[in-house]
Amino acid sequence: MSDSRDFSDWSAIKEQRRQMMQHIVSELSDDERQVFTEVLRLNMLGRHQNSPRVVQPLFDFVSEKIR
Amino acid sequence: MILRKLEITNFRQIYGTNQIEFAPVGDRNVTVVLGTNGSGKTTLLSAFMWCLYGTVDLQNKDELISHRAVQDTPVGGTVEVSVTLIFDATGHTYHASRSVCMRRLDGGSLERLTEGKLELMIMGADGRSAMANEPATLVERLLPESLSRFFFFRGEDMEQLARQGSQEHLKKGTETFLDFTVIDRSIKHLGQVSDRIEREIRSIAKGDAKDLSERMGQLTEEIDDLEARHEHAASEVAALVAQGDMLDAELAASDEVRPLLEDKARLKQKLQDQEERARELRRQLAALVSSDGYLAFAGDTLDRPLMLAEQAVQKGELPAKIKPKFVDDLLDKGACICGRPIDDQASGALRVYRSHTGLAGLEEQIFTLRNGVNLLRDRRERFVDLLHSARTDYSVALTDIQRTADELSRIDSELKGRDFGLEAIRALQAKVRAKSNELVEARVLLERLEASTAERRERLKELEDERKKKLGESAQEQALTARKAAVVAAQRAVVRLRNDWAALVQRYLDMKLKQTWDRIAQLERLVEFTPDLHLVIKERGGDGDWIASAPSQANQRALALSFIGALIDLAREVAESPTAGVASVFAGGEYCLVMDAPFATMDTFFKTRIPRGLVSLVPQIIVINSNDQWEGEVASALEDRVGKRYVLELHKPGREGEDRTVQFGGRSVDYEVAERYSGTDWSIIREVA
Repeated sequence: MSDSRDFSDWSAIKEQRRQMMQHIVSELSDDERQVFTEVLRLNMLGRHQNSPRVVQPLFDFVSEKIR
Repeated sequence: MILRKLEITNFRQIYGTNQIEFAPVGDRNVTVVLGTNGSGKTTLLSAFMWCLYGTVDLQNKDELISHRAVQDTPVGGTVEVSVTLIFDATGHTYHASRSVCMRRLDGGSLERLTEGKLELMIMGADGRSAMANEPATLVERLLPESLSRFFFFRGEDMEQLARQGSQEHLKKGTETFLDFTVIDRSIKHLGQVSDRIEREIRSIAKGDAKDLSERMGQLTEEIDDLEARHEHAASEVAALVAQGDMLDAELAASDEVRPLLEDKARLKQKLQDQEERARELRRQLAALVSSDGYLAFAGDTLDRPLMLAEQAVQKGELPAKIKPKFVDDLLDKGACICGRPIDDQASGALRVYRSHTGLAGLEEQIFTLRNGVNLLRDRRERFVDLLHSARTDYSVALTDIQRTADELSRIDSELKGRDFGLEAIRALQAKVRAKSNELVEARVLLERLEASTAERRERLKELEDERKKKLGESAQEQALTARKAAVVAAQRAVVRLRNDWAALVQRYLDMKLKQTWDRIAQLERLVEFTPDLHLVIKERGGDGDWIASAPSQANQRALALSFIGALIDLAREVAESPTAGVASVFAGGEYCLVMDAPFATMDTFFKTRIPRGLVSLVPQIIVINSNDQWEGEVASALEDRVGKRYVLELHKPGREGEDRTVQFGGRSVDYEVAERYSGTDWSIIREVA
């Protein structure tokens, strides 16, 4: 029968994703990390909403954080 | 999304108000709907799509409504078409409903009175209900339209999913399924914020920084233009790949039948030659019978005169004693052979004597006849020989024709309608070559565009670094530069997250696909969901290695169903393993599968395995198919899992006695009903208890 791969279940995927995220974030500066987190947070909150509801708060957030 | 109930009123072929209550999740989670051709099987599938998304594949929107319902409506009266779907998702029960009201005008046309907006009522576990403010948005969240093809599908679309050109659809579907939307929107939004900061920088830049900003603006425009062209070229490549794939599939099918077609062409020529020879032999036979056939019926007619003459000889009547010509000569000369004149008395005696010379004439005739009869006898013998030989040849020719016709019939049955014709195959080969050349050119263009874009991006970065040095020392300029750098870096990180996450999901789905294939198909093949998002199936070559093969329709369908099974299993797994944190917004859940004629082109092997495997994997299945597609292996495989049965009872114009019933669930049910006084086809949905 077919080959199998190295994932036991979805939890294993989640763990890999967590590590992947950690690695990506660890390479960012504080400012960059904050922008990265904020854009994902805004989009998760407003996932069914359109762009202007994310772009303006994100722009304000960046302006506020980096002076 | 688990379905509870569908209510359809006057939607296309389906007349009046009809309901289907679906078999719930559990041991008997299969709902079967039987319907003959034209009874509205695909209509049923369309009803789901129309209700949830308002989409329906119709050129004329008036076709939405049942003709029979329109017939029943008087001029000026109104008629309504509506579909309501009740389903469970995310711990709530939803009533989705869409309806259109029309007025019948004089002349038979219809005036649309309402636009058919979606209404969505949400009922909580506590029994409270509320109407959704943005029903379409909510439905899109519960089951995005881009995913609907995975869960509401026609069997014939399945093969398409397993073809090479479908990767865009697979990509979009899986990414929507795993909520890449959030990541993709984040990338886009960061770009928009970066552009806004850039505009602010340009508005305050002075001197060299201003010049550099302008050059950067030009470069950005060029990059935008190149990216638009790249997008267009990429879709061209995808379209060409899809077209090439279709042609390859046709060619693979034609390759399979090519030897048969060559045999068929050879045999057709042989049959033609044999028929020509048989016609020639029949012509020869006819000519022979026409010229000498009478000899066969002459019997003893030829022998009898000779026999009588022989008897006369034996009696001494022949040969004749004197020849009549000798007497005639004497009488003409009037003198005897001795020279003495013949007087009247002698002449009278001679004339009496002459009357007795008839037998001598007969003797002459008999000698002539004997020669003739002998010739005819010889000819008859030859005729009999020739006739026998010609008949044998003709009979052999007919046997040859029959044998060749039998061979042709065997080849036709092996071809089973795949008779492309050798000319068509040659044309197909030429098309494949041309398409392949087009694809090469399109890919070259794509690469050039990519190279040009990369080059400009590099230049843009250089200009940006240069501008950074030229910008003034003011806090505002520094802050703007820092903001832009942070936003661009965050965007790069999200892109990286997206790519890594996509690769991870692809690998996981590949594993799930393999597991699902093993579970539902149980056939030794290597199936893959490749990094470039193709569904591929391989079989073992002679040396034991896996080699990609041109899959049969049945294999393609089994592969696509395995992939969908893998997605559904994944959704369940995700729901069972909730997580908090970034990019884990996909909640997962249970998903039903609504399939129109899913097992139609499968062979016995798959018909016995796939339904059984699917039913163990998918929480709820709705199978819509004809009785022919259902009875036999599929019914045997699913019988003990069927919870609900319905028939699309087709009423169509016809005569008494043209009704048709089928056996379904141990009962005889009406399948087609002939209506003597109806001018149109219509169906109703009947539950088989």
